[in-house]
Amino acid sequence: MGILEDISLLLQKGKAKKVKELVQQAIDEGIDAKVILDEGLLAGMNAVGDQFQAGEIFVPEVLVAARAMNVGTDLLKPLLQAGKSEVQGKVCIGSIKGDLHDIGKNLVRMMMEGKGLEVIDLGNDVAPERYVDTAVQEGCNIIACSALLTTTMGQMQNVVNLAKEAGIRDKVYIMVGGAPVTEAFCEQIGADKYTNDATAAAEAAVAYCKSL
Amino acid sequence: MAIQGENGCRVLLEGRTVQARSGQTISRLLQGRQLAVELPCGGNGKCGKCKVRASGCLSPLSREEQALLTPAEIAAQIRLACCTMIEGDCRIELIQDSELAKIAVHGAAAVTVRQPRYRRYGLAVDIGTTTVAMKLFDRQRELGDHSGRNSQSVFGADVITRIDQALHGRSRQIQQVTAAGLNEMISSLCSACSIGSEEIDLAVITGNTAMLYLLTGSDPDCLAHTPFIADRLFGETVPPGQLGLQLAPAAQVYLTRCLSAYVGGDIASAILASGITATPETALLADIGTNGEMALWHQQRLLCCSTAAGPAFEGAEITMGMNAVPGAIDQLWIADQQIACHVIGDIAPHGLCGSGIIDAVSVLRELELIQPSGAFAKEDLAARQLAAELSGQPACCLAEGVYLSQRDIRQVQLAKSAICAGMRTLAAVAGISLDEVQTLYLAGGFGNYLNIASAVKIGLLPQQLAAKTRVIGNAALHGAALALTDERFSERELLSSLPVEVVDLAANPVFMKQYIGCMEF
Ligand code: B12
Ligand code: FES
Repeated sequence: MGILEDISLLLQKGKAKKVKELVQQAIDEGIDAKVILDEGLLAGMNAVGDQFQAGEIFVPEVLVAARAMNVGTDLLKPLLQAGKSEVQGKVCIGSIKGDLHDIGKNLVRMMMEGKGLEVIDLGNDVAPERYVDTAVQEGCNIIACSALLTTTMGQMQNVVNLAKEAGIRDKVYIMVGGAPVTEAFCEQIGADKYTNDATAAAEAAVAYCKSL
Repeated sequence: MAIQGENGCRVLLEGRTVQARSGQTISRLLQGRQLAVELPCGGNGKCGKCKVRASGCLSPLSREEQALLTPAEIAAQIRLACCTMIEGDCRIELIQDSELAKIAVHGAAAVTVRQPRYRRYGLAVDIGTTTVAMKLFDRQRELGDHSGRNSQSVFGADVITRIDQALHGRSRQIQQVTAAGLNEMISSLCSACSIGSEEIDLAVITGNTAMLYLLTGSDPDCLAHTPFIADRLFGETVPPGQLGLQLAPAAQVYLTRCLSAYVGGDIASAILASGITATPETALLADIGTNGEMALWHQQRLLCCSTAAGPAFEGAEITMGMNAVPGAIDQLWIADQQIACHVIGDIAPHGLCGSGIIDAVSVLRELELIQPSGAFAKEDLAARQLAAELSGQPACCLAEGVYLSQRDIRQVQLAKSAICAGMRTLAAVAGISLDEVQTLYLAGGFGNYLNIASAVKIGLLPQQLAAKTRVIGNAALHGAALALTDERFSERELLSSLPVEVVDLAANPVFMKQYIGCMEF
């Protein structure tokens, strides 16, 4: 299966143009879109996640790899929808109210997408209500909140409280992260999961969705 | 061990017995007594820097401590002050270096008293997030200077952590600790100059916006979250009694004008002291500290921003980072293809201070042990027998017992890129290229110690400006001293006459692009 491996390797190097060409070629060769996605693009992004976690690559490399992945998934999307691929789970993510830091949040989104999850990105400065409303309306399995400021992370408590009030607390898995956040803080506010990096965040999200 | 009272505990603290409440953390106990244990991460159990030696009736090792302390440290009864609860009688010893870096006053140019605003004695103060520096004047000349650690450090290393503490009901306590720290420094400066502090009739105090908020006990909520619009910018006179400062009863305290929530009075003061706005040249001024403030003067426009680089260059985010005290490696270079270093105090090294961190990365880049992407060149590291492990991370051995980890390098990348990208963004907003900048002024204590060549090598400073860099030391203090000693230097008027534009980097697409782009070496 040379071409899928090539797609994966080129994605890891962030070669968006080449990835696009090869994905098109794979489609033309009649390889199933789901297989191209899983064994080409997502396999590549998985490797990127592992290298990032090990410290071998950093933010810029992840960003270019994710761009390459998106170029590829854009080509596959129409074909996948036709064949109705099963989505593993749905996440809404955002940087918490008061906070405009979004690099970490974006990495988490990319890693989650790289695991085949459907992610709704609410952007930054997101009010607690918006996470909860989105989760209700879109039927999200996971709410993921990112905070980079000691002064904004407290808002995450409100997300947990509002989810309870909305009666969806037992239906959503609330994940929290960002540099000042700790596991102890996660427990204290009654959220479900803290991880200190984006790869682990995506893995935890997948593990939760699989447990459903 | 006998437990006293209901839930009172007897703590043997540095040889003295004090009372503590059961369930109180060691850090809280020390804070109440204004003892210097710094909490770089504000007591969040994240940085592992608040080490003390403690034994007796204490809470079991927390998860954070297990992760952050080495087995050897655990065996030696080292605990993290913010994670350890006092549960009964116990014993605590401080082990942090309480010696302070004498960086604060250094390099501030001498000030000639021209037309003093005070009657007898005047005081200029710069309250930096980390260090406080001051100068005392009589009507003829400067009498002396003094510097020390900001007593607020016990509430956290960076301004946001302290603001958070203030918002959680400790505003008064922080105000009092700040004033007490200032009073102590003022009194020792005064006694060194053989005057009484009550003879000082005017003090000019500068500092970043948050420092002035905390000093005045103002509610810092507006500095805590977006949109970060300060409701108080100072440039005003207050009575010393209001701040709890022990000066002459009728004295006045002038707090210098800030430009925005994160472009403070200190940088404004530094801009004026540097004189850049009085010349037609295009100049850049930067303070390479935690907040990384900078300003670009170009064709009658003054563009400012704050880049939030973080405390990596103060050693705080670096595993073996430390202050510039004995035992810190402050310089590294290559001799015969080997890494050589200088240790402050000429003793065995036990860590790296800011200038050492920058040199270290520069040297490792030079030897190609770090790739342009920031990743270790693992094979070469192994071939040179420098490969090691530090806190579970791949690391490079720099000197006997001193290591730099992969994670440390990533922290340096985040910080240096913020500074460099900030400069590029200001240039872009002004519509110029950095080549057009005629002089780069480095203000702040760190500039004095930084090896410019190393800073350029790692991309902290842009290549084009290498030969155009001038180190001007603590220009904020200099500016405060000018405002004090020269009536014609009216800082408020000067500032209001300048076309100041504060550039919001969070909303700036150029910054984001540059920030990612500048992360490589
Ligand atoms: C880049 C940066 C900025 C940029 C932001 C650009 C952007 N669009 O994001 C700019 C310059 C605009 C900025 C501004 C400010 N910043 Co800033 N900034 C930084 C900096 C340098 C890097 C942050 C970063 O991107 N890290 C890289 C990412 C990848 O890491 P991460 O976000 O932690 O994410 C990882 C994990 O935490 C995890 N994760 C992240 N989110 C989530 C979510 C979930 C659910 C999970 C499970 C995991 C997870 O996965 C990620 C990847 O592994 C840091 C200092 C530093 N060296 O760290 C300061 C820093 C965060 N900023 C700080 C401050 C104070 C500010 C300002 C308030 C003031 C100022 N000086 O200008 C403003 C306010 C901005 C605003 N309106 O919100 C402080 C915060 C201090 C504190 N104790 O809270 C810091 C620490 C610097 C400092 N010490 O002073 N900043
Ligand atoms: S770990 Fe205690 S202050 Fe950071």
